[in-house]
Amino acid sequence: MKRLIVLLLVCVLGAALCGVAKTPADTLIVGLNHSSLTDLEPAAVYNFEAGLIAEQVYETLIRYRGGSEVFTPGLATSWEHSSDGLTWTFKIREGALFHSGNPVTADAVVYSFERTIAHDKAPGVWIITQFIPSVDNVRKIDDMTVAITTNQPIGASLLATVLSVHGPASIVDPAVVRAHATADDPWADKWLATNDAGSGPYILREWNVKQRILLEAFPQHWNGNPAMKYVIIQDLPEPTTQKLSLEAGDIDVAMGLLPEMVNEFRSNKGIRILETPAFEFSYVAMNLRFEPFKNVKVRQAVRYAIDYQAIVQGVLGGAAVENQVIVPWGMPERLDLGYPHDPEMARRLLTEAGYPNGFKVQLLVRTNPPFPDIAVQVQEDLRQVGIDCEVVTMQNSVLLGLFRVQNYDLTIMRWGLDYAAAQCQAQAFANCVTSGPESTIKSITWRTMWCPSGVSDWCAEATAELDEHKSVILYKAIQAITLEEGPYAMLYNPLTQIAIQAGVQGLVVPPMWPYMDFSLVSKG
Amino acid sequence: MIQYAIRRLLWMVAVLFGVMTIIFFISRVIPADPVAALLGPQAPPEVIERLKAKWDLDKPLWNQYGIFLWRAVQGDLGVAISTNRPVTSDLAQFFPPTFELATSAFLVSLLVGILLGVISATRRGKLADHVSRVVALVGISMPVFWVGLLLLLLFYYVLHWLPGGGQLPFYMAAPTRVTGLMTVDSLLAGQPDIFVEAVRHLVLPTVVVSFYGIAVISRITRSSMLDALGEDYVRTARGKGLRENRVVLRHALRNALLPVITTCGIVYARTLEGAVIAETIFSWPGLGRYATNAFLAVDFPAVVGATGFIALMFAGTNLVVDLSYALVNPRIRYT
Repeated sequence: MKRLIVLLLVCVLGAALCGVAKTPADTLIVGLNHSSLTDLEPAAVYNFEAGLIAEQVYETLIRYRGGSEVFTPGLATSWEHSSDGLTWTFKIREGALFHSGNPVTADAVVYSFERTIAHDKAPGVWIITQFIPSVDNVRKIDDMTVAITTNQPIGASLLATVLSVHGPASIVDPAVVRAHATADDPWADKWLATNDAGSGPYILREWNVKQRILLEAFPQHWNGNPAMKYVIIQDLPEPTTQKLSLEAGDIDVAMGLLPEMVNEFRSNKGIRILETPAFEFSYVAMNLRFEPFKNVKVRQAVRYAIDYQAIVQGVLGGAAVENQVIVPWGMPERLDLGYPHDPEMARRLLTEAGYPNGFKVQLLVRTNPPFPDIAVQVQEDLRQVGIDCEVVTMQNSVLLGLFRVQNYDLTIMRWGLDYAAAQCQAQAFANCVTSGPESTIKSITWRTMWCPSGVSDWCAEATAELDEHKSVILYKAIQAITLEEGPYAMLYNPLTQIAIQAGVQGLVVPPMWPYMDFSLVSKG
Repeated sequence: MIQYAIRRLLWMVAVLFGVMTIIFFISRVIPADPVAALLGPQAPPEVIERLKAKWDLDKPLWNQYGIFLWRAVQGDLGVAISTNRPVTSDLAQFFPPTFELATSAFLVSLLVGILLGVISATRRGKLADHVSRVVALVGISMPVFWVGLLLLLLFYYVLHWLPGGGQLPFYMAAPTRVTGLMTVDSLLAGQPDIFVEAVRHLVLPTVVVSFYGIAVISRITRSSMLDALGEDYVRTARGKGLRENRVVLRHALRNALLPVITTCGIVYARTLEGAVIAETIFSWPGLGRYATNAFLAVDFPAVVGATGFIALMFAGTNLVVDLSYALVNPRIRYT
């Protein structure tokens, strides 16, 4: 008996100490924090993580890629618009198949939009319904042609952006959805929450909640069979674990590292870093309910007082690019302007505004890094010009609750674009009719109680402008006025930093990282 | 004995009710908005209202509590905000990995703790005693997350001896779920390769979580062994000419174990607690990581469910320990 126990112990120990496994050649293993991943039902896809999966499993009429070639054909091979900019006609790709083997047709496109529009209370569906409010706006012309009529004229690139939003604009297989629909659940939401009815380069094979997602290549995909037969998206919430797993070769891609970890990897030959300025912002929001901020000179003084480079280089270690306008780096509409760090000018403006001795204000900030550190830098910068900030840290959910109801004076916020268009930013940061409770639009402008006269009209005009050149000029004007008078000190666009094994080829990180395409990846 | 057990079970229900009520109200009165946390800054207000209605967060507090109680007695703990699934299904999925880790760590604590305790009692004041004291001190004073990271760095990163996180290599598919315990399921499925990997992945977290138990059990064993070794029956046994090993193991240790059993309840509970922290470091898909994520996401139903379940584990373990006294020590009778 004793010998048997000893033998067993030796076996277990031996098994425990045998070599470390490496990732298989036909499998891409990605480390990602799954904590926001709750639902893969297309209309409900609204966060980054679910978007990344939807991007691999489903397809849209037009694909967003970022970079120099922003849009490429997806399930539509070509599109053209009527001269009034209201009706768009799409040619559907011949030979495109859903994972079930059914062909992608005009009927499937109409059904998909009908399904999305029926979910008008899902978080991201407004992106579609703001221009395509009813299923009557989507019409089948013939088996392979669809016409979409928008409720107002909109520019080509704006429409392309909206139609490339994965989730709400994804095309689903009607036969599969109907097969899983029930009387209580006519759109098969429950089934689609954990299964797929798409035509993308990968099939969702397994979703083990808070553990891993297994995707398998779809060999009949119109763009060919992806090089990676399997993609495993492993739940690794801890940055340290991701770092160690990447170094040990247990994962190929780490998507949640801290900037200092990324900097450490720069000297590691076995690992490459992919970096792109993200379509995200961190910004200081000033609420005009607070008396001093009603004066535009005070708002400008705050913008002059902040040392943007100290935040980008000092606090963030270079993991961001300074950006003081509301349109992110990488968009043609972006206006390249900003305030220099000039405390002297800030003091002068405060004096002119009637606050020669500054004032006291509470600065609310979320507890998650790097925000408390940014708050300390802002506090110090404002102290230099006489503004005495009391920094109050709180849970993000608490802070968002206060921000939504205009209940704060000064705060630091984070913002990510819902879709890759300057129009998305203008609507959020410059469009406001009234700052009262009766307002139907409660955008960032409303939450800061800043309602500039005329700028909202520019926003509407820019949205409807068919001439891309003219719309760029309008967006630049909107940015200029926001920079001059607005209640924000936009700080930076963070870098999306992804570390990969040196042998991983073909992975491109777009400014909106969930639009990453794993079907282009191979391993050397 | 049976009467006693029934009375204790009823008490357990009362404790559970109390814990869940307290947690329910604490989670509701904190000013955090779970829907805001879920949807982020840009979601339209009507979407937020709709989601609040879905989770009954738009109703008055007492009304919410009533709905919660009525559903809870029917075994329905609501739908978790952060997974969009019933909390009971989540608990059923995430508890077995925690149980597997905590139990293996508890068994290691028991084995190593008693061994260390006996060695230091029989070699009192000698090197072995001092070494065991240092081990106990280290075990009690070092936080689990720190030991975890250190061992991960050494055995996974530097030496490449052991895997880093999870229950299996990332590319390996789990066996068909029967018990939810990876080691058992892999054997039931007849997949020895998965069993070997499951054991390898269990080693590091087990060692980390068992530190506290080893420390406590070795100290208790040592002091009660010292008492036992000074008793008359030990002297008699020695006088009869029995071998020292037999005296120590058969006579002294058996009697010295009673206080160890008393501590087992606390140690097991603390081991569960350690497992909860270790799970995040070792990417262990258990209840601890589930609960941590629920707390961060202000996921009320999951927080109440997970906390209630952990309270149930604590109360249950203590009950089992109390009842086991009678089995080990015939002098104890319950009335």
